[in-house]
Amino acid sequence: MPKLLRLLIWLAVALFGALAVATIALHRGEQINAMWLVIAAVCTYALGYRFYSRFIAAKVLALDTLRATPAERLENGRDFVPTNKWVVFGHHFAAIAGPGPLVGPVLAAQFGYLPGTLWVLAGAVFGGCVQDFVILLFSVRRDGKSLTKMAKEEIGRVGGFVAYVAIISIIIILLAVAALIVVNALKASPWGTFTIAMTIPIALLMGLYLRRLRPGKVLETSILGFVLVMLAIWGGQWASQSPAVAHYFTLTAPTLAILIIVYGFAASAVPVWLLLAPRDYLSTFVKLGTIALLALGIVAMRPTLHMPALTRFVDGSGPVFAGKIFPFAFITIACGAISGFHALISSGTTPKLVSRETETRIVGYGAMMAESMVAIMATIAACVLQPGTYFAINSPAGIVGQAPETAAATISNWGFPVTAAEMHSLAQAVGEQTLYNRTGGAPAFAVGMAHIFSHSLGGQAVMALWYHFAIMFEALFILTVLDAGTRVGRFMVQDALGHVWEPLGRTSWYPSILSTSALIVAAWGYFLWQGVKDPLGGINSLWPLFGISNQLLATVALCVATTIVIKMGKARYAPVTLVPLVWLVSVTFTASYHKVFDPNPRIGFLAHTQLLATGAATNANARLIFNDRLDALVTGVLIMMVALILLESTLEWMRVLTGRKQARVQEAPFVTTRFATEEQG
Amino acid sequence: MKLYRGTEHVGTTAPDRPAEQRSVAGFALESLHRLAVSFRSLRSPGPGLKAGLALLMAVLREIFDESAYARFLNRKQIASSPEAYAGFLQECDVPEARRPRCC
Repeated sequence: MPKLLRLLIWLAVALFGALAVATIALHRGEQINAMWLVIAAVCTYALGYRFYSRFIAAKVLALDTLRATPAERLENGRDFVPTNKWVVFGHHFAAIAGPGPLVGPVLAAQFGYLPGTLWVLAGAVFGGCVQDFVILLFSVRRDGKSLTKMAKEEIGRVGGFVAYVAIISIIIILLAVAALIVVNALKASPWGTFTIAMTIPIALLMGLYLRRLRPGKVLETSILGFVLVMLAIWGGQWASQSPAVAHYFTLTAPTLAILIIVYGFAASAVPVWLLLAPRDYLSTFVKLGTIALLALGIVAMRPTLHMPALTRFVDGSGPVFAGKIFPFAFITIACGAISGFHALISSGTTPKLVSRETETRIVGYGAMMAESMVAIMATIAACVLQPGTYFAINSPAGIVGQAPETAAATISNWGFPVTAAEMHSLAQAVGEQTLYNRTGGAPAFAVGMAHIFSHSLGGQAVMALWYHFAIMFEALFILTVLDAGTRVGRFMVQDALGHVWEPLGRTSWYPSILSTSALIVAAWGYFLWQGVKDPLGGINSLWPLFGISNQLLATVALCVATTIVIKMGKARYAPVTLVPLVWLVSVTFTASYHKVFDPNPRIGFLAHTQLLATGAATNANARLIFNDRLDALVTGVLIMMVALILLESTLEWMRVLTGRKQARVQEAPFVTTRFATEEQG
Repeated sequence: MKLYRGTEHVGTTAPDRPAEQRSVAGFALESLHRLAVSFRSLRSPGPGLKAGLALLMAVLREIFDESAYARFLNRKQIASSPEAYAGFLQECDVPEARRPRCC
């Protein structure tokens, strides 16, 4: 293509993107079309990928087309397999896309559509995509080593220890908050509970079918499982309308929490092939299909956003979670903008599949852009709802009241009109008894998604089916995260305990399996129980903790990346990872300070403790006080970890930059790739 | 199209014409021609569409571990059977369980 034409095309993309961003940022008092968000996102990602990632690839990382990757050098047909870049891209995207980019933006929509959208776009292009890209490349250059190992080798022992603690913390808090989302989505919902309950026998059936009847035919089995799940959704309607059956599936939040805790323990102890693997296949199948369907639905319907650009809750008084835009919007939306968890995937399976260094750009940077686009779609799904409806679904009873009329009046007084009759007819349309106080983001996302789908496919008549499809889709992969996370946590605990007493480290020794599974399940189960019993809905305290621990892991990843960039002799390019690092540190420190010390009892754990202490000295109050103190302690420990790794990293940078320590990176030796010569020949 | 690289890997096809030899009008005509070809290919799948579908299937097969099972059979030089699949599951039991699923 002629250079001039290329230049004109990119200029047009930049101008169109700027127009879209200006439209979403500057419109006040008027509703805008969701396509402006899509256009702003597509243009921003295109420019980010074409120019910024190219700059990083060429100048900072100096990707080498001649350097063999571990997939080629250590090829064993098992872990290390040189694979086509688009295949790796799909594999990596399927691994990084979870419930986070769907739930975070829905919660952050309480500020309006603007803050979340801008953070998702800027955070992804300058933070998340960069983190995923550089960690993937650095892992590729170190034979596919994990983040913990790289932190230990490049920063020091403290770095390795902090990475370990951050991973365990994030797993425990993630599992608790994920389980809480499922509980809030399924409580008093016989249809949803029946559908999700049916996914357990369906997964077991798939496991047996795969092992006995059609070995290795995973795609075929997943399609079969999908058909059965669709039947379960259809059957859920019957279950909810049959009083005798509905009785067994209409469960309270505490009952659901107990069932999920028992399920988590059982799933962690049964063989992988029987439950975890088939459920994982099924949820991946549904996830990829639904994301594609949602994208098509948004483009086909081109819905109008009813949520204003900014709401009155930018002042920190939001009902969904308390706190101002800074720092709370930035820890509420982690996945979709920047997520430390991705660094685990980028230094896990993916680096062992990449066949050329240059392909890390599309896989690392590109897949994160796709995940960020999912977050934009979630923002759209939340913001197509009338604001009154959005707040009625997402506000806890402790804020808006239990009775429908009281809740509707409170929300209308905030300036977002909604009536009890409207909420009742909406609940009926989606096949639920009530939609009030469904905190956690999943039900609001499901209603938004059902709204988009029902306007594109099938009309209002099938809104209830779409709603329960969306609930099933979210609950299914949240439960997969729960299965897998409990197991990963169990292995990490076993690894650590194996240093204390060798038999505890044996992954096949049943006493060790049961005791470590119980330990992990008890840890996340405790936080889940705390969330279920919290009069403020649980999400208010647990989601910020999750955001802080996720951003802590991102801090570890960016510290590792900055250290390596400096040791590579490219200190002048260190701001590429240093700027997002500084931003994350300021966000996590500020958020942690507010969560512990803020005088507002809805934000600060200690202020809430003082408020409770002035009330009646009941057992319930004593438990809430203990929970608040525990949350404050966890936040304090996490922030200490951030401070420790920052200190150790800074000392290492100073030693290298002042010449007191020789800059030596721990890369695998250079070997020339045979692919380059084959391509030339 | 080779989706897994190895010693038998075949590189890309013929290099593009030098950019300076093409004008804007020429590029536009070429683009229109490509568009027409792609519309025709929807009715009767051509090599491009076939390659795209093959790639999509390869992505799905990798995500769903079918490729990993095929590599296992190839490495062990055995045919697919319930016993072979059990062996494959046993081999990837621990790595599969250690693989985190993202939030």
